[in-house]
Amino acid sequence: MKFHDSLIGAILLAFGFWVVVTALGYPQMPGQSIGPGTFPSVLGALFIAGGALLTISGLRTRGTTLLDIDPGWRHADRLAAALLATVGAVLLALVFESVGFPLGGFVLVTALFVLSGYRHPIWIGVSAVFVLAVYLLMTRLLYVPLPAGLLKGIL
Amino acid sequence: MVLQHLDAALELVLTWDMFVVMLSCALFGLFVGAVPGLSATMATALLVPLTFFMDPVPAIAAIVATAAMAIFASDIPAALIRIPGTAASAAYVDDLSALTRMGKVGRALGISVAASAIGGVFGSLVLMFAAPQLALVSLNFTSFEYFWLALLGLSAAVMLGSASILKSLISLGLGLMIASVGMDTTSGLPRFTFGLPSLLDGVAFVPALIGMFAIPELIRTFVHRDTVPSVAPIGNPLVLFRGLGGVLWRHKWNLARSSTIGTTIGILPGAGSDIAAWISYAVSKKFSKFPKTYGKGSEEGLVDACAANNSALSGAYVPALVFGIPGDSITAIVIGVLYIKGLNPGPMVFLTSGDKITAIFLVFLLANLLIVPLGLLAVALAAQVLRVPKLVLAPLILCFCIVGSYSIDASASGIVIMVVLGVLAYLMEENGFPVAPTILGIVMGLLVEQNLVTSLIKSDGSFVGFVERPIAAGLALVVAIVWTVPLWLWWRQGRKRSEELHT
Repeated sequence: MKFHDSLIGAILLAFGFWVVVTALGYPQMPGQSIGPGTFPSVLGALFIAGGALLTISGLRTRGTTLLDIDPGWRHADRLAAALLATVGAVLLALVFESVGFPLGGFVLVTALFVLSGYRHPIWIGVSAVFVLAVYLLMTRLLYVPLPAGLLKGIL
Repeated sequence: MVLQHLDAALELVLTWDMFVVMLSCALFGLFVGAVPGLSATMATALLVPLTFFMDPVPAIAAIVATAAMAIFASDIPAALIRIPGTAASAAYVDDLSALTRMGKVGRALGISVAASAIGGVFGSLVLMFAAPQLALVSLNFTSFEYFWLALLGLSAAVMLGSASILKSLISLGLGLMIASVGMDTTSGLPRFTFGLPSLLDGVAFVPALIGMFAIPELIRTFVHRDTVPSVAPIGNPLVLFRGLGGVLWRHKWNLARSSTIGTTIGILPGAGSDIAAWISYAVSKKFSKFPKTYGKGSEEGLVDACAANNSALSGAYVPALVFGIPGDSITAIVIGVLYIKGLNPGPMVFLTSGDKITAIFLVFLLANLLIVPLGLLAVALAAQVLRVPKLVLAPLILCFCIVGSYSIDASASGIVIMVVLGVLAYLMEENGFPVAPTILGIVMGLLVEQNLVTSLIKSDGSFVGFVERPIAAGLALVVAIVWTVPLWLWWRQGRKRSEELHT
């Protein structure tokens, strides 16, 4: 997924201005000319300068599109797998305590197997055994308090 | 210092726990390294959550063993299916592949195993004896010297990388920006937290690391679905050693030269094994009697690049342990682990925890020596490992990523940080922005800012104070050279090209 350099430059330019404005709003340390905003202001200036240079060099490059999408993204199953791996993981994080890792992880891994083309029932078993093994390893051996969630009474 | 603490260090290293940790992590590293597309850095990042539950020395041993094995094992897909596992093995992938086509796959991997081990041991010995001496010198360093050192590390990461300087600089800025999120250490003021309490302590390092190295690989696996070519047969792994002694003896000076180059480049903050392998290969070609064989199955080039590759890995630990400045992405991870373990890197750690530091040195030697027997095993199992589709591993790796990001502080916010930064890293890589400077920025952000602010307070806001002390001035000069020389070379090349166009 390639964006045109001028577009990235413009985003960086806007981000840099936001950083500078926010950082300048932080109070200075008493009796000093510096404060918590000094370092972020320098970074903001770097983004503004970098963004401007990238925009200019991007505008000089002709014949390229604003967004070049890899052919893989045009396959519905691949797009769904990538979205599930990212957005799905965030959604799982939101319900991690209530649903729990064993069930949430099992659903996520099984769905990813299905979307990757592994649809034989054996893969359901593979995800169940794998997620359970990870859960037991982390909770019993390493004492990481992974939430059991809905399976609290069983595990 | 090493001899003084040797007994205590041996007691820490020669235990069954250490043996099991190193062996299992080495096998993990071999597996990840041998799967095309999975990197040594990703293996190390995935291992970090497990190191929380270990003592400091086994924790570092786990990372060192994993990284050393994964870097060596990445030569296996390079030889068998012409896919370099790391940026370093890309330097000599053509030679490995050409030797395989000539029916000399055993010789190719044998050279890789032996040269990697020799280079790694050389780098470890330099680390053992140079790091404590450097630590003694650096006891006199103040915030001015540390500021310049940190800036040198960041500058080297930007200027010596293979990506565009502008994009590397922006990547570095993003890392420093991420590091500045959270409560300011000097004033206690929350910065860029958007009112979220989970961001008050800053962006958690481990989820950031796992996300930025693992998530882009997973997205690419799900979307691009690259097919792996068929695997060339290896046969009996013992063929690795047939005639190997003669080859190594013939190229003994190459081994010495490339190990020295590798270690020196590794010691440079910000420059890692990939740069070492490329430079060593180029130097080898320049001084070889047979430069035309390079890229077509040159054993000499292979010896040089493989030795430099692993020696740089050990060399990178010198600035990491002495100054807390990472030499590459893996040492950036190690620095994070050292802080978590209360073994804060810096000159004082050599005085207060000499036994542990000596034990870490011994671990380096052991990990590099382990390459030889485990290398044989890896070559024997390589054909099977390479047949495992990456697409099958991807959902399982995601599961590990979720668990690893959660376990840092038993908070689901770690999972969100992992995904958000992972997607950012994917977009960055797709658009030519390298991720390594961002990681260095996240690790070193606090160090740079604290030393900048402290120095500015000390000097009453004047920049003259930054170059008043001799070592600080020397470091400032090196930083200036790191910035000006590549820019000057780039400008000169551009001028030459335009002159050629006009004539």
